[in-house]
Amino acid sequence: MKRRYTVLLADDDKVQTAMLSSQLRTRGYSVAAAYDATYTSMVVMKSPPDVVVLDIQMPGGTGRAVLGRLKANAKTMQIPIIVLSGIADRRVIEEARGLGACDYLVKPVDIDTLEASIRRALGLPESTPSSEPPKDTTTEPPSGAPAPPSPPVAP
Amino acid sequence: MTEPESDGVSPLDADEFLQRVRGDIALAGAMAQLFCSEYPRQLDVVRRAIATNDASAVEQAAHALRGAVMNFSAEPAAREAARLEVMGRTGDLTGAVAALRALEAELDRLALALREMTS
Repeated sequence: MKRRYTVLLADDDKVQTAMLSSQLRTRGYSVAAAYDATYTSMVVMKSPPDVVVLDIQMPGGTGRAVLGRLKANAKTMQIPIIVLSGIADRRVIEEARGLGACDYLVKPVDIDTLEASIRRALGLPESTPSSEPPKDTTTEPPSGAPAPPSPPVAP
Repeated sequence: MTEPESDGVSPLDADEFLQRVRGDIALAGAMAQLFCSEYPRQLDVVRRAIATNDASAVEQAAHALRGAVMNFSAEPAAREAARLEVMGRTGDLTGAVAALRALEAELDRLALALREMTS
């Protein structure tokens, strides 16, 4: 049975959270949402998700504080954290990486970009973008998979 | 699809927004409804911050609004929110009241366009 990964979206932007929640669920993920730092920390400690998507600019500098706190805690430090921000500033990116973020995405984020980052964080192979038609695998193996055996030849 | 325009500029890039939601009109409608219910409160936060000369709060609230409208590719509203955000960041709230009025006008235009688009 295919495993259902859990993503925690931690962002005070309710509109974006509604969009990404819906789109991630459609793609087979379980999604939890937190709109402030306190609830984010509580959810992660109580029901650790497989990956956290965190707005580093949650009000009052709390996004950074959450990132630092989760990465300093033995129970949560292994959970990959993808940072979202409305700022494409090198210093902010480096700060986030320094605090332990595994990726940094600039808002507004596209669902394909986010899912690719989630899959990398989870160590999963790349998925086929939903905007492309499924590949015909009868003549070509999916990327990363071994070639299928040749059909038996009739004597 | 018609969109209300101010000086010939549409309040949002509808094609880009629909691409972002992969053509899911129900999702677009839910986002629009959420935005329309939230932005008056967010404007009140900015208003109070300006009234109390709290530049940091102006910056934060304007930043949040800019993020919210960028979900809809609403460049005019995003620009107005960014103006206020910069005022808050620099601590110079001179002109903030006028900037807030301009932002409110753009948000109202955006809300109207979203209602028409998703009704």
